Amino acid sequence: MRVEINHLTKRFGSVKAVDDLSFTVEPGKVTGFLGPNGAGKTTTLRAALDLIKPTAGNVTFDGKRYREIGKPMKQIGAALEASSFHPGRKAIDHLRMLAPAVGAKQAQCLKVLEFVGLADAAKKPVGQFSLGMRGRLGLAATLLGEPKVLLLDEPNNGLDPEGIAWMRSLLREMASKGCAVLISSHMLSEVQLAVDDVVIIAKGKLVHASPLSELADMAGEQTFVVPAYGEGFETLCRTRGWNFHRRGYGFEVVGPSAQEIGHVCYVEYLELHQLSSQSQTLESVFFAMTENQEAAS
Amino acid sequence: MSTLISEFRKIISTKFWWVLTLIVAGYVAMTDSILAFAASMAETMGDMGTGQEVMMPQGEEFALFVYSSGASLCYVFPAILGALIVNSEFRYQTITPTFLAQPRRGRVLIAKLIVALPFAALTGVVLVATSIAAGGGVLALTDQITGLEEPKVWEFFLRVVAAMTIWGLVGVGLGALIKNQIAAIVGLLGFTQFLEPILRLIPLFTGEDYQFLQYLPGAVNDAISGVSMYSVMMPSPSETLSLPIALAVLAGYALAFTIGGYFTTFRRDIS
Ligand SMILES: Nc1ncnc2c1ncn2[C@@H]1O[C@H](COP(=O)(O)OP(=O)(O)OP(=O)(O)O)[C@@H](O)[C@H]1O
Ligand SMILES: [Mg+2]
Repeated sequence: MRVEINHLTKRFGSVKAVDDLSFTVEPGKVTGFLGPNGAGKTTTLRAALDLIKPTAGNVTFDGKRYREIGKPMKQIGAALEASSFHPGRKAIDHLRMLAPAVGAKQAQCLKVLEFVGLADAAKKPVGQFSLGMRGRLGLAATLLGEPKVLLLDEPNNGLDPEGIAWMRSLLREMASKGCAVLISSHMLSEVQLAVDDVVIIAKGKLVHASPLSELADMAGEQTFVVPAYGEGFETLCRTRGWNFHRRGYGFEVVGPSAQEIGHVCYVEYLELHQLSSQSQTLESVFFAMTENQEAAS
Repeated sequence: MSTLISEFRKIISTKFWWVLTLIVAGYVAMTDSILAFAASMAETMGDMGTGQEVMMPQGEEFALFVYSSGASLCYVFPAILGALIVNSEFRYQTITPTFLAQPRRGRVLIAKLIVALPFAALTGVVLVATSIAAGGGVLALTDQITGLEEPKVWEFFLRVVAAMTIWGLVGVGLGALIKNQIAAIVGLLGFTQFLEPILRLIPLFTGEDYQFLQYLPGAVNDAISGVSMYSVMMPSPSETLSLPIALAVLAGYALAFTIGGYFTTFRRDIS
């Protein structure tokens, strides 16, 4: 199943949580959905699942809206915040309450619980669960229907390193079976090893969407610039469309070469105190992209 | 159908349904036995020399009065039960997985109404059973008339179960209309236990009868059960609705609240 986000916009009062966002989640791939806190990731997922009504645009699964799919949990497994549990309800009962929606029996509930490593906690009330255990239970619920799409909001939240590695292999395995997988995170480094594609948003707007390898190619080309007048240089970056990231007195600029920057500044009569090429991590590419979007709005 | 099973499992996997049912049993056991016992004391002690004429029903009428003492207040418990069926989903945000499993929200609400029926009816059955055991037991032990062979008493019991069952639906509607659990329960208790009793006492002071008073939920409840503490307390019992009309009015409350809840709480964004 292919997931298409089509010109999705969601306003909460005066806040545009999601702003004309479009991208696709391909079957057979793990897509990382990245953005800083408040970027609109959860809002996008909730809109996709018909939990909130978009102001404009929509999200479709092979052309259908969530509510138009019969037995949607058999096609789409989604886990949002880790707090959607009744604290007095036992883990197994949480699954049993959802089981009729996918026609699953008790044995299937026990199987997924065991799969996510909660076999021993099946009879415990969820109120006694740790954050990581809740995350695992949420994941168990998504797997109950053997879905073709997985939408997971910050699935690594609360997981120990072993759990994160386990999650990664699970996501890879689901994708290799043809599942379309979307995982949100506010840290690129957290999902870097698990994803094929990246979609980066900030302030509700799309900043970047490409295979991870293309983003990786953009890393390594970064120039550190210390201008005499910061404001003038910032305006120049904006008009030229260069991605930048302020650090101390200087700017880390992604995209143009040091040579190009030096030339343009010369032409524009901008005095520079320092201009040096640096190699750059994937994470700082991500920072530069999201920060620019935030500053521009 | 799968939504119904889900809703049923949601209730039985939590505690509140049997806690509320136990409270009904405890409350009725207390009021009925105290009342029956007090009456036996009053009888043995005569009128205690006050010379006052106490207007007390006699025989099986008195037994009915004992049985109705719990019933005329306990209807709030199936209503709370119904409200919790909806409110707990919003309180603990389990409404998210609920709507993921069934995005047609109207069906979720209808399923909640349907599964509320047996649990609300159970509170009614437990109320009647406790009434018979405690009220009837004390009446029998103190050599008073239990009225348990009278069809009239059994009709009363049936009516109580019917009223309690519909109160469960009123609760579901109220829970849907007032999303916040505390607000819904405080509103329910405040209106039925405080505001309405005061309103119903107005005729006592003004001497006039107000038609709207018989449509208040507690008055409707009394009309369904057919016996009321108020009719005993009031010098001239005011008019009450007939059984079919009272049933319809109470069901009307449930329907109106539910429709209101559907167009507000159940239409809103879940975030
Ligand atoms: N129900 C709501 N009412 C008002 N504003 C909201 C609501 N839900 C989200 N927002 C706003 O929408 C914006 C996007 O929020 P969202 O939860 O989608 O971000 P996010 O990318 O998931 O962030 P995080 O990484 O912190 O989870 C934020 O500015 C938030 O304050
Ligand atoms: Mg979020």
